[in-house]
Amino acid sequence: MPSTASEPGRVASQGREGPQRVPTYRFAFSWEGPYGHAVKLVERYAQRGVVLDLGCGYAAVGEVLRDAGWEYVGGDRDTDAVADVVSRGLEGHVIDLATSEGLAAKLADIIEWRAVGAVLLLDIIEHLPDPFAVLREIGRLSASLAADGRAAPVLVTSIPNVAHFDLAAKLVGGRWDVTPSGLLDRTHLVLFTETRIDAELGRLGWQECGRDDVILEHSDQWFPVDHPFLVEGGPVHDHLQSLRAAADPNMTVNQFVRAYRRSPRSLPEDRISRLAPHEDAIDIVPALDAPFLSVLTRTEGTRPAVLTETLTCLAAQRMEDLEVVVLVHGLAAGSVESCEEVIGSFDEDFAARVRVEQVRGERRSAQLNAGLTLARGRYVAFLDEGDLVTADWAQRFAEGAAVSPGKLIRSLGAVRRVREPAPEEAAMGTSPVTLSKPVARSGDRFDLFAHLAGSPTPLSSLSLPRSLVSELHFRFDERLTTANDWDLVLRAALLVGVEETGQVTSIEQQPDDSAVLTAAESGGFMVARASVLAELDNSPLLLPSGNATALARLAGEETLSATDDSERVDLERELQKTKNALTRAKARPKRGQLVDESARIEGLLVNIDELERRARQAEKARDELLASEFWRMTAPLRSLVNLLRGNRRGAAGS
Amino acid sequence: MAKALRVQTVRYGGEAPGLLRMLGSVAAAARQVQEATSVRELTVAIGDCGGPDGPDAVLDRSVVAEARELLEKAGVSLDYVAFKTNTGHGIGQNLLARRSPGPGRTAGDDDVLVLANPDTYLTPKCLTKLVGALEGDTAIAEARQIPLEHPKVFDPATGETPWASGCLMAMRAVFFDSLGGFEPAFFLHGDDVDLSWRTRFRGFRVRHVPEAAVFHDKQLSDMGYPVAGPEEEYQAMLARLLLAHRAERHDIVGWWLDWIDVEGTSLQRDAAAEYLRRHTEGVLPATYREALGVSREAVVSVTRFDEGEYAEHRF
Repeated sequence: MPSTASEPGRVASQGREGPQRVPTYRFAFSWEGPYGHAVKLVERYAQRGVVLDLGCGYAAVGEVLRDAGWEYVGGDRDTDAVADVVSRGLEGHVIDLATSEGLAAKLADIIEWRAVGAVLLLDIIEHLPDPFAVLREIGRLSASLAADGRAAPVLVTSIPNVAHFDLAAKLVGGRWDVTPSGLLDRTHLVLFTETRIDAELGRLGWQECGRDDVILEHSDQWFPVDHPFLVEGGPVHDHLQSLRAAADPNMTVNQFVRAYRRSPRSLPEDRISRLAPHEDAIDIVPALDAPFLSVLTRTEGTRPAVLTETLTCLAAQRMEDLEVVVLVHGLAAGSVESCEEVIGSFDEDFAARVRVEQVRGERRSAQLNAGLTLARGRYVAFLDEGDLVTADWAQRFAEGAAVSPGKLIRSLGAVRRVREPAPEEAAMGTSPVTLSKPVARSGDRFDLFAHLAGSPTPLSSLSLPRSLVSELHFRFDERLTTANDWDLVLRAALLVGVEETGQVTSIEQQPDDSAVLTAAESGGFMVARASVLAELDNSPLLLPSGNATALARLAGEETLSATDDSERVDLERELQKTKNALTRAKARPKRGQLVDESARIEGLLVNIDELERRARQAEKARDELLASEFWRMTAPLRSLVNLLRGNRRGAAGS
Repeated sequence: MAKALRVQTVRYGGEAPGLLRMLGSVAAAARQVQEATSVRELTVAIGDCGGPDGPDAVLDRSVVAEARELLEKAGVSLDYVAFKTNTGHGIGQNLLARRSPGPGRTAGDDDVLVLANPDTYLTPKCLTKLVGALEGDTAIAEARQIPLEHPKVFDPATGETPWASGCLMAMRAVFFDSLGGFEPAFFLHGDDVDLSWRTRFRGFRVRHVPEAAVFHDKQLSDMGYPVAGPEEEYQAMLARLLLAHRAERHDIVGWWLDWIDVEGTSLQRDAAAEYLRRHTEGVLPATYREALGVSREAVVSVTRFDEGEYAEHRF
């Protein structure tokens, strides 16, 4: 029994808030507690008649309901409690819910000809060895009442939430504190989360019609208050809390107080009785027919040739375990039919893996969010109409996911300039004219700090684990007018990290007349970036391993570089290698090269500049360290170490 | 009006699912051809050279059966032949072409021959567009490759281009026959350039057809170029030398040999050695003037080299 329910021996206060005056009861009743919430649900959803309170104990709600005009009938296996109920002028029966066999018939006998407005199960089913058998019997009772021409009762339940944040946070730290009462009452036999309640009651034909959950910021499990994961304002607590808030809205729900009606499509009585008593209906395993990858392809539906080329790239993928969701966002008449015609022109095997969905929303982010809800794959990738990919695009994602399941998978993207045809030409099937070779536009490695600074990764070179969508409700931020991709990638990378494939697999086609500024340089991007960073500032930031040194460097702690002499050597070696490559590139004769030497040289020069800058930093830091007080003071120690090393070498060589 | 169309591909290695995907795309494109053109008889011919495990590493029977079923559903017949030897691309295509039009049938003047690489995937309208482009003095119609477009020049207005890639090209079957097919001296690369040039020596045109797009499976380097495998690296260099030789561009041959000496990879050096061996042994193919009796001016006009390559590039 949760701590918020009535507790034996306590006397409730006279004062209360609520629609009716509550007399002093032997057991505590509070309008703020689960009993009060349950009564409110009865008032709101039940038809007049009997309220059957199963597992009623000392009937904390008995007088409240009776005084409100309900015909209260309590049932409990505790004969003392039932006697007490009866002694208070209420109807009470000895009913043992632990043996559910014949329960429906027994309840029907008690009810006789009366109408039943509600059946209450308040903080009781978690104590039963087989709560689902009891729910099944109540379903059977409901069906028999309906067969009699009587109204089906509302079922009102109060069930403790085993996923309250206090409990969950402590479990991360390895604690599971069973208590005499409360969320982890030592007599609880079955534990519930919202998902489980929904699944089990749904399976038995109960459909939620109302809720009035009991919310407690701090549950009875909020102890010890100095547990590191419970320290409010502490990074771990706050981070866990922000993650949990993203996952579901129930982290402060102490008890789920819900009302249910029998679904119009409830299983027939004979089917209910055939359901396995402990059949696990919770969908924790992905559907067997779900593909590895869902590809979301946005289109206006007005450029059939362009859509055809993007779909051709997908049809040619070596990894065929994918589905394609074509998101038609255009409003032009016939746009959906046009897309369907394009898809129908492909070979049957591929066409069977493509579906067309019309999506609403002017903004690209809204369209993609609609796509995220439609995706079924373990991973989701994004390939807008007009973008092209190599045959190993999906395969690389799959390989990355096999190495690091659940991480963001990142390949490299290239961009090339094209001249777009006029809209009327595009509608007639004219494709863009290629004007340049593709040039890789994203760095070899995902650099979190560079990304924070605004360096983008093309969306078409990424694959997002759909678990971020299903578990944490990841979405593109529709409030942003730009930088949506950057924001999503950043948030995903901060949560699950990045697995690199190192392969260039996608080509974005950039119209030749588009603005010279890259997205990251535009004013709109800078504004959006500031907004995203401000949002991130609201929660602790979790950095992947290996970023402490990088952070210290960013903060100007240059001596750290000096201590890492090997890195300096590596840098110098890399610098020399790049210089040599540059020399070779320059020395090559002008004729006969397939490669565009000027672009290559330009790239190498950028590399050299960066490497030289980093080498200078490392050099400077080393010099500072050598000149420092610490270095001078530790000179004798170093001499000793060198002497010992020398001795060892000498010994080994002799 | 073309009545028959034959798509030929020469296989060497490669996974069966990839070939079946390609054939699926041909089947879909064939449906469009039947709807939009006068072509009614469609055939796919596969010449199987085995693979790296040897010439006997041919397609499994079940794969051939699956391919046949897939094509027949689209009204396309399959002509499969295991060569039992690695013929290379050009000879393989020639052998397949000799099996056309098949027993009991007579070749028509307008019958179309499509030469395709097995590592491709045709867009549904690709064949229809290529067939439609074979009109007037256009003898060869070439598809546009995606996602990596070939950089060689073409006239934006007419599509005219110096040569057509063997990745996917269409031509009249009788014309292919009259040219004698591909020159056997080329094994994997350059035979398409040579065929195109010989076509142009006869006064016909080669057209690039941008609206006929075909996916070609190429890896992309981080510099944005296709990544060449070892065999490709060797054959591409040998092809450059052979083409320059046939065009009597001794300056180009000399320049490449010098370049290989300084910059070439070991595979390119092997290609140079092979070229020099053939030269020494007198087994190089005949020059265009010797083989075709064309003038020096015609050779200069048709075989345009730019930056050592056999065509000017747009980017």
